[in-house]
Amino acid sequence: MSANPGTKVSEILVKKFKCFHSWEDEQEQLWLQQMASQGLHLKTRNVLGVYTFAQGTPAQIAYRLDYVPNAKWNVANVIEPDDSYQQLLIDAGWEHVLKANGWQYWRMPVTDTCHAGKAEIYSDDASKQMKYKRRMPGLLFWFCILTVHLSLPQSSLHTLGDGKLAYMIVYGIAMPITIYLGYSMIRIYLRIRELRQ
Amino acid sequence: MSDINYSKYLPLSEATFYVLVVLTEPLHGYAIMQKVEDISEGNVVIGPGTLYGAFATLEKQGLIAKVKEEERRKYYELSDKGRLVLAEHIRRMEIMFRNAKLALPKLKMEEAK
Repeated sequence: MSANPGTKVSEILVKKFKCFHSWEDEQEQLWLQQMASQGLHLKTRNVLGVYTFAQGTPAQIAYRLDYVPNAKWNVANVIEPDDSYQQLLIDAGWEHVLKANGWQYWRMPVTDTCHAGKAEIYSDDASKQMKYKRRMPGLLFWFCILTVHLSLPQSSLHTLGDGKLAYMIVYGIAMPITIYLGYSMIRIYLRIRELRQ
Repeated sequence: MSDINYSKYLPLSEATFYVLVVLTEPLHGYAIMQKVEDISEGNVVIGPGTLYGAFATLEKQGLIAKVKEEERRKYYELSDKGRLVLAEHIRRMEIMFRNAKLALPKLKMEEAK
């Protein structure tokens, strides 16, 4: 069996499930770096937190997660992730890995001495804070929508009929999500405050 | 041109100062990063994400303006307002520098004691 010229010899793919909250981007970066040092290089990630890695040679690779949502209604600190955003990072030596829910995954080998110490997308705390601030409006939007639906008696949720099974199920899902969104905002706010000091 | 409220923009941070200095000619993002690092003798290294955010801020403040877009790269240059703000910053820095020169020998005397 010979490999088709021009196409890659079949890669060995490894899937891993891991859950990171949106305030744990630094932990996620570190985990991806650890995976790379074991020869597992990130290929894709789905919304459920399943990461697909391609098995290769172990390498020291820095991963950076940037949050740049597309949404136009995101009025706070709008930066549009257009082509020039990606081009600037590519020019600076970063490789774009994937894009998921507004998060952009970038990586750069750190063994290269000319890049050592430069492997940062954000070089000051103020711009790091902006990254977290951009995360807020999206969370706040869904938090408000859900809170309104949970609290207003005339909302669509309550037309399911109080006490009925459908109502219990929807309420049982919506309530924890609302609490989770609220908690996420608190954690991100604390992260911003930490950077301010 | 109406009077500029300089205190709104000054003092410039070291990074912003260098970005404005190199934008006396039209440049794109990565060229700015390289040039800033070069002329600051390695003291100021700006990350690409930080610079991208700075473009948005400086453009909104009207200190820089996009001059063209080529091969996915945006080129910026100082606006007239940006030139005035940078000139005012340099004028204030010159005063600071003269005062620094006067203060320096006195500091050395303190050390000798």
